[in-house]
Amino acid sequence: MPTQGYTQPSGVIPRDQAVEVTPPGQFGTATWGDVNRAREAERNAGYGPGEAPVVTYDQHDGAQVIQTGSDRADGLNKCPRCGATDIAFDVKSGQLVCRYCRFAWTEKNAAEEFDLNSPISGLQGRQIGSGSGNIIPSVNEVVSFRCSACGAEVSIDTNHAVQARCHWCRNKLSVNEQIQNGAVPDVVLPFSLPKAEAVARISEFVAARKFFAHPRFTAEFSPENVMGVYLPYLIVDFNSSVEFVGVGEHTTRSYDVRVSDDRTETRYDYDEYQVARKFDLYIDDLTLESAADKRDFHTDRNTNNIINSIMPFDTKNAVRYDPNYLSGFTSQRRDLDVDAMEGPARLQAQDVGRYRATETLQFYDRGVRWDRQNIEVRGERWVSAYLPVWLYSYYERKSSGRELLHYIAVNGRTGETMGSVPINTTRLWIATGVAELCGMAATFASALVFWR
Amino acid sequence: MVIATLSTALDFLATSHTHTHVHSHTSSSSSSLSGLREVIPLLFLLTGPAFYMYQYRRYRNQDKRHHHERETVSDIANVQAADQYSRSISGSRHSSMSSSNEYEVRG
Repeated sequence: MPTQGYTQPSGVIPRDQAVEVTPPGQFGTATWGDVNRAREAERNAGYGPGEAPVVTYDQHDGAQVIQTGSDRADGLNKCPRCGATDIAFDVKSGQLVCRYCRFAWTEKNAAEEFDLNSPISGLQGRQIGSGSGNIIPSVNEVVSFRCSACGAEVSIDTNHAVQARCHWCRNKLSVNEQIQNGAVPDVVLPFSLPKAEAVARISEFVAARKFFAHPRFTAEFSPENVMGVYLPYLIVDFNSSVEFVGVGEHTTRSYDVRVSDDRTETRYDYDEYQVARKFDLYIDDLTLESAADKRDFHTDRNTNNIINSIMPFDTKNAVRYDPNYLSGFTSQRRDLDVDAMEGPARLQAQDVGRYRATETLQFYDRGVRWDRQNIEVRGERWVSAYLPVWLYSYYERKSSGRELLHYIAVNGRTGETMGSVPINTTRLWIATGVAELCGMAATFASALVFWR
Repeated sequence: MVIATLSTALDFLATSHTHTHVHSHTSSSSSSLSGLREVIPLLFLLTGPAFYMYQYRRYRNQDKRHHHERETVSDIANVQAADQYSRSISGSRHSSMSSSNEYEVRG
């Protein structure tokens, strides 16, 4: 309430509110600006003056973060010997090579560097690599850098690349800070299979499937166009306990019974058991695709299952992330978080447990039906990774108007190859008809022999 | 188009299969040789569909995936097992349990 003879300065909190609810001393060293900001925050939060609870963040039960980032955020990944930024990755030797002074080196093994090999049985709670944090949608996919060598502004579209050359001073700039858009992972597994080998494997794969291949595919086939792609994955270790409860059956006797004058049938006697198994399950490096478009496994509209089938990778040999490993290759940004992948990962871990349980079920030769299955995760460790895939793709537009992207994929480490080749359906149907005619002839011939 | 033709092939296979299955009910499960003799000529009718499916699968590999349940490195410890006998059943026609799911894959 303004008192007579005193004009309240505009913009301040009315005295009745400010005085009554602000304990003396609380704003002892505060300015009116501080008070205004506090009041405004309270109003915005829907609290009356002074009602806002005091929140302290002494402790949290969130994930522990494994720091995998470098302290560099200047965009310049330099040669340790001469400081040049023009660094290439040599697939054959597996080393980074400075194009200026020819110095060659390798990044440190990620598992040793970040202690990712500690016993899984000792894992408690959730640990997440600092490059596997949740993706914040508002973080730009295009990152702007001020070149720290010359000051020019350079943009990198992190959807497709993590490096660009400064157009002024020709320094190579790399996204080396773990920005929260999924472009910079914790670790990278460098290519070790050279392109020539990938081309040879793809050619061999297609050569073995030539006869029924679509003629346009065969005509346009150019395996040298294969692309080296670093695809995003999340790798998880689980310290878990699994439990299975159900029913098992064990054959005790089998015998023939006569069901009519000239026919006998086999009958089986068996014992039924209540079966339960419970054990600790330590999962090491379960690997899941972490790009949403690559996790769509509907084979009628895409061929992502091909890329899925060339797993596993030797993830233990992954190294600390250095963008120079990506030079000359393309990469896809991760767009799925640990939270989104947690459910699928647990399901897969439970599958592993179910398979391990069968090692103890030999007695139940008729099978086991689990009625209750449970997995309890005590500890988990997540890291994000770029894994190397040689990818040949072919876009098929069918006469019906349907389109399908066919992949032929080669694991950039192990060389495992799988692919989808578009089919010449007319030719396949004719061949099927011929095969069926042969089958019918064989039916007729064998009927003459057997049905007499 | 491909799916339509494939499904036709599948239908054909299914009908042929049912056909042979009918026979197997009456005779193939019998241990006498005459049952087998009856089925062998009919099996040749499956040549066409089997050829189509084999080639389609060889080119398109739609059934391929990463077998995480077998290919993931894992270790187990502290195994606790309980096996409680509940009952005996005799005279079953089937050699295995129809509802078994110990090799199921969900993930």
